[in-house]
Formats: sequence, C-alpha cells, structure tokens
Amino acid sequence: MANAWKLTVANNGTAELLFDLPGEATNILSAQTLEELNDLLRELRPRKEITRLIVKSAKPNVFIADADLTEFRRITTAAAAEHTCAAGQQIMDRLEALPFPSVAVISGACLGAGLELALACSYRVATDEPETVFGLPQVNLGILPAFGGTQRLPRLIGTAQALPIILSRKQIDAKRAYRLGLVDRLAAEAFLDETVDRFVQELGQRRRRTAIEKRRRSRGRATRLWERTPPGQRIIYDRCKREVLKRTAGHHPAPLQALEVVRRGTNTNLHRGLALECEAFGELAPSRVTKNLIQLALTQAELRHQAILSSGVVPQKPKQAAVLGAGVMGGSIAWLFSNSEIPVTMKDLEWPRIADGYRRAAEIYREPGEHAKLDERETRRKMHYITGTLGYRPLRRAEIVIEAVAEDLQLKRTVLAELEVEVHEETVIATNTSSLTVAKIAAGMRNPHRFAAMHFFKPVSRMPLVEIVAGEQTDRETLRRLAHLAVRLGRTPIVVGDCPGFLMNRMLVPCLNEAAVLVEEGVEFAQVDRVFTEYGMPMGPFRWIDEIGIDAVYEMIETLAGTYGERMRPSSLLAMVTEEMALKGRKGGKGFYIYGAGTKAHPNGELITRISRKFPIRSNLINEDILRRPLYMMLNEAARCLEDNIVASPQFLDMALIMGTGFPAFRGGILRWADELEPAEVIKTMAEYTRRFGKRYTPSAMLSELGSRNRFFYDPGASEETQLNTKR
Amino acid sequence: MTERIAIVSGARTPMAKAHGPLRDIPADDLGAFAVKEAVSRAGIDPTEYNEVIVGNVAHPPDAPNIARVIALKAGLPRSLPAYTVHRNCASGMEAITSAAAKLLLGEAEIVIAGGTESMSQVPLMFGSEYTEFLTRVKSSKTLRERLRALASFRPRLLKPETGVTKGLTDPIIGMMMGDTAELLAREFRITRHQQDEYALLSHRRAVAAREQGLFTDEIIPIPILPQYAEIQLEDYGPRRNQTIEQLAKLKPYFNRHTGTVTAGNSSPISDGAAALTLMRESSARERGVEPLGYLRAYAYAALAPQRMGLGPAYATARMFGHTGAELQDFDVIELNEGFAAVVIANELAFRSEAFAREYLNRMHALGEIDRERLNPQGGAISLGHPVGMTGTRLVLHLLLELRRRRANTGLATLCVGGGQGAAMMLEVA
Repeated sequence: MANAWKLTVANNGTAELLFDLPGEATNILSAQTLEELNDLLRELRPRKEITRLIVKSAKPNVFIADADLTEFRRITTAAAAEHTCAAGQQIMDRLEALPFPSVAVISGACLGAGLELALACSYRVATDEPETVFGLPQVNLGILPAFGGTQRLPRLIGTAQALPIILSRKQIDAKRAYRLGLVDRLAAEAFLDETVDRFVQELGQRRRRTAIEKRRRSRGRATRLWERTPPGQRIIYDRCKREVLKRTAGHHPAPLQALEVVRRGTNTNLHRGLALECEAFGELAPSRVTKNLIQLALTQAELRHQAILSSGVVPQKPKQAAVLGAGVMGGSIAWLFSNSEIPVTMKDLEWPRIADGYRRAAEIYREPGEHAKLDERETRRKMHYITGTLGYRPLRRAEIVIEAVAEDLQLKRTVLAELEVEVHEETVIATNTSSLTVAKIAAGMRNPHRFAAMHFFKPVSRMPLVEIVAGEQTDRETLRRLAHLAVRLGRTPIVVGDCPGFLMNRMLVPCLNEAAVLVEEGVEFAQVDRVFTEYGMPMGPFRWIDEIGIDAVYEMIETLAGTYGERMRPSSLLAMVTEEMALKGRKGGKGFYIYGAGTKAHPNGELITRISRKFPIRSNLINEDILRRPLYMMLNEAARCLEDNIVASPQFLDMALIMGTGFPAFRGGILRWADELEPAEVIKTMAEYTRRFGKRYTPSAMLSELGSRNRFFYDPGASEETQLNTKR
Repeated sequence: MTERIAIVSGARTPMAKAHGPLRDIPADDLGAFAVKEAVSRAGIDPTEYNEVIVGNVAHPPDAPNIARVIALKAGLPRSLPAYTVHRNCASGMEAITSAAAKLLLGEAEIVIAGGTESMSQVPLMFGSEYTEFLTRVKSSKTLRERLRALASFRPRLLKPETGVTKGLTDPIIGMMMGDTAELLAREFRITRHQQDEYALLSHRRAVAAREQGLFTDEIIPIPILPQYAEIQLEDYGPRRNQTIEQLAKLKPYFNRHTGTVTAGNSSPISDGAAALTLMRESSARERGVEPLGYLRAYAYAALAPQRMGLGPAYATARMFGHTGAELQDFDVIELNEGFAAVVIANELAFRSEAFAREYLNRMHALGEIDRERLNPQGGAISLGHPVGMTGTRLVLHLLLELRRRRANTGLATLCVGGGQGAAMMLEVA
C-alpha cells in the first residue's frame, strides 16, 4: 500500500508532512497511518538542518476527519483500549516534543483525532472557508477524545470554552476558533501558501513570535483567571454537568467521564492528565453503549453509501419537483425540497390548502435548530423555490412528484390516475402513504414501473430517515432515483419491503397501541411516558401520539388492523379519545397533554377524569412490565418484519428505528436490546404475557426459534461484521 | 416591425394599495412570483431563455438592477442576463418593447419581460442638510471638532422627504402628477362630477369582473411575506359598496380650493408585479406553441410635461401613422386610468378634429372611443397602479379579454409622467 504521509524537506530547512490517504476522498487516522507518522517523526527529530515542520492535508475540504471507527469497534477489553490510546498519545507527544516548531495548516474539516493532532502542533493556521470546522465529536460515539484532546484543548483555550466542544457534537468555524485562540492565523484559501510562508517567517523573529503567543494567551483572559479559582471551577463544571444530564438523561456515560477527566486533568500536569484520559478510554471503548453507537454511525454511512454507489451515473439534481396535496405534510415536504434548492410546486384543489403549505414551510425555516442560522434573506430566497398551483400544467416539467394527499385509497388512486396522464413519461411518482401498500395504490396505474413509496416521518424537518418502498412492478431505476433524491435532501434512505405500515409504522403501531391498552388496565398514561423516557426515549408513547396527531394514529391503527388482525386491534381508549372526545393532539393544542404557548405541556385533566370513569380499575403492574409490554409488541413485529424480508438486516432495522423514531441510540435498537436480554429469556416472559394478557404476545416464528436454540438476532458467525458486535 | 412578437405566457400578482396587504413584500419578491409563474406557464425550460427585462420606477436601494435580482430569486439559471428599464409609468411596456427590439434584431430567442413595483417600500429620505451634518461629524478629526460638528445638529434635519412624493413630482416643472391632471380638467372642462362618475364606473366594472372570476387567469395568488401565514388571492382595490356620494365627499387632494382631482378619482399608489414570456412569431410557430397573442406595433411619443396626461392621444396617433390602423379596427381599448380626468381628456382629444389638426399632425380626429370597449374590467383607479408594473398588466389583461370576447385587436395605451405617451397594438390571431 502506498504511503499516506509524504515528507519533503526544502533547502531552507522547512519540512512538510503531507497527509494524503491513497484512494480515499477523506483523511482518517488509522493504526497504519499513525504508525507511519510515528516513523517519520522519529526520523525527523535528530535532523539538525530542519528548522520547522508544516503538517497539512492534500484532500480538498478535509484536514483530518477523525480516527478510523472500524478499529475502535474491534476493541473488546480495557487493556486493549488503553494500549490503543497510549500508542496514539505517544505519537502526539512526539509531535509536540519536536525540537523545532510545528505548524498545522488546516483547510477543511478538522475533527476528532484530527483536531487532537492539530493541537499537538505548536501553531495552527486555518482557512476561513465554510468547510473549515473544528470539533471533537467522540462523546457521541460513547468514547472521549483519546489522543490528548481532553488535556490540550482546555490548556490552550481554557476549560470554559473547551468543555462545550468536548462534551457535544458542536462544531466551530475558523473565525470562532481564531477568536478563541485555537487558531493562530486565519488565511484566505486562495492565499494560503503565502500566508503560511509569512507566518513561518514571523516565527523566525522572536518579537513576532512572542506577539503570536501573547495573542493566544490574551483570549478571554478574565474567564481564564476565574476558571482557575476553586469556586470558578465549581460553577463551570456544575453548569456543564447539568447540561449534559439534561441532554442525555444520564444514559450516556461518556460525556460525564470526559467532564471528569477534564476537571481532574487540568488540575494536574499534562502527563498525569493524559493518563487519566487513557484510563477513561479504557473503560468506555469496550462498553456495549460504545459498540452500539459506533455500529450505528457505520450503518448509517453504509446506507448512504449504498444509495450513492448503486450502479450507474449519479442522477442530476431534479430541475423541478412537485407535491400533490399541500397542507401540513405537503408543505413540510416542499420545505425539504426548497432547502435543497430544488424548485417544487404544491398542487392542491384550493388556495387555502396551498396557503397552509406555504405557512408550514416558512414555520420550519423559523424553527430553532439547524436551519435557524439562515437569515431572513436566505429564508426568502429559499422560499421562492416553492410555488403553488391548482392545475396540473406546472407539473409537466416535474421530474419527481410526491403524492401526499389524505390516507384514502380511492382518493390516492384517483389523483394518481389524473397525474399520470399529465406528467412526462420519465417522471418518477412516489406516494408518501403511511399505512397503505404500494401494490394496492399502484393497482390502477397505467405505468406502475415508475411508481414507488417514499415515506417521510413526522416532523419532516427533524427526522433524518426516509423509507423507500418498491411495489411488485417498480423498476430499479425508479428506486435508484428516489434513493439519490433522499440523499440529496439530506436524508438517509432505507429500502424496505411493501406491507401495510411499511417497516416503521408496522413496528410502531403495536407499541403505541399496547401502551394505550396499559391505560385501559389502569396505568396512568403519564406514568407510561415517564417509564419510556427513563428508558431513554425522547418522548413516551402518549406524547408521541400527540405529536403525530391522535386522529392520524388511530386511523393508521385501524388500517393496519385490517391486515394484521388481532395483534393490532385498536384499543378502546384510543377510540374514545378520537371518536368521543375528538382530541387531535399537539396540532389541536389538546390531546393527552395540553399545549399552550410558552407553557410546558401538562397532562390533560379532563381526559384523566374521563379515563378513570370509563376504566375504573387500578393497575398493580410494575414499571418493568409497563416498559416491556409495548416494547415486546414492537419486538415481536420487528422479528416478523425480518421473517417477511421487509428489511434486509437487523442492523438496518435497528438503525431505522433509531433514526425514524428517536429510539435511544445507546440501546443500539430493539433487536440489540433483545439480544442483551437474551431471546431465550424474552420468549419466557412472552409466554407469561400470553397467559396473562392475551394471544397477541405469542412469539413470532423467528423469535421462538432464536429463543429455543439460544441464539441471537445479531448472530455470531453470520459475517465478520456481525461477529465483531456480538457480546460473546 | 418586420414580424410580430408572440406573447407566449403571462401572469401577475394580485395588486393592492400601498401599505395594504402586500406592504411587506419588496418589489423584487413580487417580481419573482410573477416571473416564476410566467415561466411555469410557458412550459419552456429556463435554460432556453436569453434575457430578463423588467420595468421598475422606484428602484429599491437594496436591489439595484432589480431584473437580475428577480431572475435569480425566481430560480432562473445564473447564466441568464437581466436588465432593468425605466420609462416611468410605461416601464412595464418599455420592458416589452425592449424585448421586442432584441428579438427582432435576432439578439435573443426567448425573453421574459415584466414590470414590478412596491410603492409601499419606497423609503423615506433625509435631506442633503442631514447628509452634510453626518459628513461633518464623520470627517472631524479631533474631539473638539467632533463636538463642534455634533453641536450643529438641528431637529429639522431629521424631517424626512417622502420618496413617493418626490418621484411623483415632475422635476422640470415642479408639478405633481395630480397637478397635471388638474390642468387637463381645466383645459377640457371636465367637472368633478364627471370624474367621480368615471371612478365609480371603474369600481363597478372591476368588482363585477372580480366576482365573475375574470382575473383568475392572470393572477397567481401569492403568500404574504415575511410570515407566509396568509395568501393573497385577489386584487385589494375595487370597492363593492363604492357610491357616488362617498366620492363626492372627498376633498380635492392637489388643489384644496378650486381643484377637482381627489384620491377617489385618481389611481392609488400600489404594489404588484407582472411578467410575460416573449418570442418571435416565427419561433412560436416552429415550436408549435399557441401564444396568448401578438404585439403587432407600438409607438412612444412625447409632449409638454404639464400635459403628460394626453400622452395616449399622441402615442396612438403616432402608431396609427406608422401602421395605417384606425380606431375602429380596435375591439378593446385599455387606456390607463392614472386619473379619471386623464381618461376623459383623452376621450375628448381622440374625438376632436381641432385637437388632431393642432397637436397630432392629422387631418382628422382619431375617433370616438366607445365606453363599452374602454377599460371594460375597470382599471388603475379601482385595481391600482403599481407604476412599474401597469404597462405589462395592461397587455396581459387586454389579450385575455380579447380572447374572452373572441375579438382580435386591442389597443393598450398609457400616459407617462414627464410628458410622454405609449401605445401598443395587440392581436390574438
């Protein structure tokens, strides 16, 4: 294999290390590239003619993206982890200890281990391009910066500034990094070489060099003095800890560990600090949570990769798209297109519905979060990608049309029949149905080959997953174009099989429905929600139902019950709430909870009274059963989806669940969780549930099989990949 | 013209009185809505267009060369050039005729022409004294100088000048547009009552047309920026319950003592935008597209700024001279309702033999204008007059109206501040 690092030494004594990972678009630090670097550093150290070292990347838009995740995944013991960590730390120490100054020249992403390497250099010069970002995302993978990041960053920019970067996935741009003193000089990409030359020259003059170092130390001087005092420290750490706990509900050990390492490390010397870091990494790296989180990151990359690479040329960005049916869903999908700068027209029967679509799209642009950084000018410019129409004429130029009318088979068939004759032969048509099948909807179409489902989740602006579903006659080209489109829209596509509810709703419905059954049996719904959030869910089943819309959920359960029968029979609680009380959930301001502007959602008292009147029993179920009953219903359905080939692998299923529903990532997904509980134990409990609560708990064929043969969803021996992830 | 120009598609936004529902939508956004729709209706790939020409009078300070801003906001290719034209109230026509000239010279194949105006957003300005004051403060070097400069501040410096008023005042003669209308009212002896009756007619016709849905083919409803919470479906001008008594009660606006021109019988300052897709007739035939209609001929003429209201008579006479057309050839006439007095003055001038001989260099009068054919769906008095847009709107509306009547030939003409007139001859087949 070709070398990743290229060393050149110029006559003037300037050595340059150029990182260029062969055959890759991006630079990552693997065991091999680190080893190579180590050898080069060893070689450089004694060379007297060298006066300075420049470290840079040959990749456009990337300095170093991070370390190689697949390697971390292989770590199974604390000792191995500590070894990996110490080896990396040593190389960074060697870089730091060179007898001549080193300058990291950063143009592009400088993340994770990449930033740690830059921190080990004496100075950092960075371009002010938007691609140049700095961050330490490791805690999101359940580990912590392990090549000295937890020690060098606080020492360089102060703990108060360093902690938010270490404890979250927050990235900062070059200007901010310069203000913090993380970067010593900003450069325009076009004049990077000139800027670096001048910077290096300045390093040769003592006065200039002192000025550079002084500037660095002067950043936030007051805070730095303050954070060195014991009360200052206490305040900073307490605040950070509170924030971490709020964000993770205490389920993620990594940020807390990292916080502790920083706290203890900054009060001692660098050497001891690094030892603390190493120790913490040893604890975290082999843990189940870390494995789950890393697996997730890799699976996500794989899904996107599959969508991009599946044979043939990359389809061009669509010149025009259309959404059939405006309103809230249509408007959300239109937002997604406009945000990717694809012109999209919303077709509906009347202008007020189109007005709803415009309003929804604009609301999303103003939501706090990722896109909130758009200013008014950008928002308006992007909103102009959205247009409205009552006629089909503007759809003639559309290359992709997404149908998002109400969940009514006849209606969908009618509008699609109308649409089909209006649009171009090549136009891809996709339905955003949530409970009907592609086969059923496609039945009346003239050309079902170009038709599939593209199912977005609510809220569209925040859910990163899109289900893509082929019918019997859908051709490959259609699927490929939809998968590409999903990636272009910034979403991760997952191709799943055609069945009512597709993968996600089919798994979700039994869970939500069972939660409602618990309430009929006398459990308070707020308690169910509490148990679920303690498990790590972003919200419990009833908050979730409120979010999606009670009427929509009820309708979906009814439709699915039509196919799946008994196990999805709608609970009478939901029937009461929908039909008698006509509660709609969040969109109506009232559901299981009351939603008001500026006030926290609180349980709907009127509903609680109604429930206690209709179901006047108290339950003595323990919390464990309250959690397990809905989740086992979901698990059983998940196993059935695997049996029916609705989804390709347990990895994909778990990933979809995490991305599509916010299932806690550190749990690794429902199947991973079942493996942890062991299927043999799971079916025992389910047999008991069957006796006590009904036949719907009868384990599916696959689950029984796994349980009786003491095997797992992530089966050892199936492939190298899964093998690495089983616990024995 | 060596060949007719085909008008392939067109659309306009609803219009509203300034500071009404469209007040927060800048002229460039209004223009983008119209252009997007015109392009969508034409069904031609945006990469095939060669130029965007937009008429605009009160250029917004933050959108210089507004045509380019509109083109990019409308999502047209970055490689598509664009420029802005200005001929006061005829700017929306100037865009069309500039496009026509380019097409006929073979400099372009497909052009977007339009007009846009947000009179709500014309900024208030500070006077030159305030500018001087600021310069003094900025350029003072020592603290003492600066203090002295600051001390020269006087509250009257802050008195704003309204851009709209400035724009509507003729810089040569110092008369406001309404003053020139008063002048015509006196010259042609047009009474207050005649003017009010015409204004009432305009409202009645516009209201009837709106209720029959006659504008829906030309209007693209637009969301109301910046909230996008509402959508504007129709023009916000025509008043259903307008009565002659209400009109009679209004005080003359420009000459409080002996005047006849009121806010009721003048066109209001307004917001709106319109756009068309144009190509040569031969290109349309080659492409097999059926245009809305054709531009057959046009003419501009100029006269004394004080009598700018008579511009339509001058320009029409000139166009007749070029083409040999006569007034009876025209099935529908859109004569812009800048002021009721202007419309009536032109009616009188058109029919007057003496006027024709004295001013138009013609042996005979232009002819009697049949009111049934004149502005049949109302006009600027009731619908509004976003100055940069109106020229384009008249053409779009006239073609659609001719098609509705299964008639063929139309005249669109308007008076232009500064002392000009514009006239266009349009045909459906």
